[in-house]
Amino acid sequence: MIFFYLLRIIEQTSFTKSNKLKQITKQEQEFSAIIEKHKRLIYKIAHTYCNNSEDRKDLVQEIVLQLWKAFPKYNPQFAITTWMYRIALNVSISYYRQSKNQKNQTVSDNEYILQIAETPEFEDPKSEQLKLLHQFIGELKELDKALILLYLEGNKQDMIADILGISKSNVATKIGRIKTKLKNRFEGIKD
Amino acid sequence: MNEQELINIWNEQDNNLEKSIAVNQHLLKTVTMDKIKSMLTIFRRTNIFELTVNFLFIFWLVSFIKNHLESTVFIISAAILYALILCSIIYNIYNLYLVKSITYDTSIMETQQKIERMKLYQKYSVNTLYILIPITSVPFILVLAKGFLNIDLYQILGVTYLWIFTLGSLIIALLIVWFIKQFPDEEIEKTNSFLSEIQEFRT
Repeated sequence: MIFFYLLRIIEQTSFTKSNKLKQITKQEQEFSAIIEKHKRLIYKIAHTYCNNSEDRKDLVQEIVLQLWKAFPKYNPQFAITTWMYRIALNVSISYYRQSKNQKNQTVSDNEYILQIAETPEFEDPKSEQLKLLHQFIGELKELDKALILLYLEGNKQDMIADILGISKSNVATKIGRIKTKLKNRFEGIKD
Repeated sequence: MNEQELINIWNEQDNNLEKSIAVNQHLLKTVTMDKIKSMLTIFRRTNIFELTVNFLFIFWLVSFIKNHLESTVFIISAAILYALILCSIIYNIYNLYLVKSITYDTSIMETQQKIERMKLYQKYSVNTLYILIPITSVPFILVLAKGFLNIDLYQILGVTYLWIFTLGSLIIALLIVWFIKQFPDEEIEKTNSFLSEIQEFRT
């Protein structure tokens, strides 16, 4: 009798374990697909907050880690991009503001989650203006950077307001000011 | 340069990035196994450790007071320490609540404000400690010597010596306050300025 009960307990435990493992594997696959689909978004945010390529790779790692940590709580009723923007921007601002010795050490020195191939196209001289745009955005304050990035990515004002936690009218006013700043910087280069 | 030109420049990188970025699936799996400790995890662990030590000390203080009810000096000294540790416990609990309430998936303003406040409290608590250590040194030494070594320093050193020690400690505390005011912490200034920036951004 006791043997029978023990067998049942073992069976149930292994069933629960295998179910949990299946669930984790499924979650990992879903997460992996999301990262693959939105890799550009992650990279662009990291690039906006980190000029140094080594730091940028660490930041990407940190963003992915925080996305994974928050993934089980993600509510599919809301857009995945809103959720990703919030996490990636929050992590980037915190990372940017952290002193160097406080930064986390990532998994490996040679491996990175998003591997960037420096293809000839990427070094295209046509992208000179893009480099300048990155430079000018880099000169902005942390919160202004987030705002202009969301705007340039084509997000609507109410979505930007929702991600940042400010009013819609505030978004419009601030975007106007930042655009003027950027235009002036470009015009300054031409002169 | 008009608005559309800015957007076009920004979008120009999309084509290149699509081709150049590859996701390292192996490493992604490593990260999903949660091997990296975040800043918040470290902060939470430090607070839990402090809270445990504070609780142990406060329980010890209660038994110390019970055992020395006949001596006013020891009761006052232990009461000062009790009040201090109690404040520290409240601070630890508040910090843990703050850490728990920080989630990166809430709005940027809300999350950043909480993170910066947490940093600020941490810095202020260190500064407060610098001031409190000399102020509470006399009751601390008296209580510890009696509680752990059964030595009555009040009797051995005498009242005059302890008063001189207390005055000396107060002067040191005042010097520390002056020093902190003369050389303000750069981190505190940065944090305060970012908090003002957040406030300004919201209005």
